[in-house]
Order: sequence, then structure tokens, then C-alpha cells
Amino acid sequence: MSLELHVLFQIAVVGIAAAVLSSLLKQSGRDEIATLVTISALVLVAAVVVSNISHLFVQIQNVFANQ
Amino acid sequence: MDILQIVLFGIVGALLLTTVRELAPQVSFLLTLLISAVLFLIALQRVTGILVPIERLAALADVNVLFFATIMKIIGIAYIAEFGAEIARDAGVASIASKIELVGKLAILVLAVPIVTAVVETVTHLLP
Repeated sequence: MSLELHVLFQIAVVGIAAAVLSSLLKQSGRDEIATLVTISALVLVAAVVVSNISHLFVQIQNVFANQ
Repeated sequence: MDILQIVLFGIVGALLLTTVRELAPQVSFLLTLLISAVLFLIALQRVTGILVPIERLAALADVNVLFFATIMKIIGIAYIAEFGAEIARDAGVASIASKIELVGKLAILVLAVPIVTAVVETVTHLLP
């Protein structure tokens, strides 16, 4: 897996957008939607990160435990 | 020159982290997880380059394949345990990090027992 810089930027953008959106929603009084937005952003980012981590662990197994 | 790319990747990641940390702390933790995972992957690709000649040398010196396999497993366990422990420590829960390290050490100990017994046996055979 090569150096994917764009994945980093995507995650940063999702995080910042979620933060801005939730603070915007909080100002306009819709608090529950703000929490929904933050949680959905977290789930999205977690999905990306978990797929990368599982890829890492599969690689480790292939390298070190190749019996 | 790809070492430059890797280092810059880390620096850009750290920079992104500082911005995301105030705005969305949870996302910044996931970002650290991703950056360390990618850097570990790159380190892993370097390690594979080292393992092949070592394996050939081990075969040349007719080292018992079992020992070499267990050593590889031990290195793998150390690799993953260190990754998990650093992530936990980065998230601020040093207690969990030490628990992860404890589990890693125990797993390595369990794997090392056959090698130690083999060494002790060979030594006792040598003694008169």
C-alpha cells in the first residue's frame, strides 16, 4: 500500500466539516442533529481507519506467520 | 529518496493533527491511528526485504526451521504489541498500553519456551 496522502486529507476534511456543521447546528438550536452529524462523521472515519488497520494486520500475518 | 516522502507524510499528518485536534478530538485520535498504521505498513515492506536473505542464511547454516519460524512469530507479536501499546498511550490511557505490552510479553514468553528447552537440553548433553 503506497503512501496515500489523500486519505489523510479526506479524513481531516471530514473531521473539520463535522465539527463546523455540528457547531452550526448547535447555534441554530438543533442539538440532536448536531450530535447525529458528529457521530456519523466518527463512524465514517472509523470505517476508513479500520479497513487500513485490518490491511496492516493481514500484511503482518503474511510476513511473520507464513506457515 | 522515498525516505523523504515517508518523513514528509508523517509531518503532514502531524500538521493535520494539530488542526483537527481542537475541532474534533475523536477524529484526531483516529487520524493518529491511520498515520501510524500507514507508517507501520511501510516499515513492514522494508522488513520483508530483510527477511528473505536472513531466511536463506538460516537455511545455509541449517538452523532448525522451527526455531526460525518461532523467532519470526515473536517478532510479529512484538511488532503488533508495540503498535497497539503506542496507540493506547497516545489516546491517553497508559494503563491499557501497559496491559497490551504485558499480553505481548506473555505471548512471546509462551513462544520462547520450546527454544529455551532445546538450548538447555543441548547444554546438558554436552556436559559430562
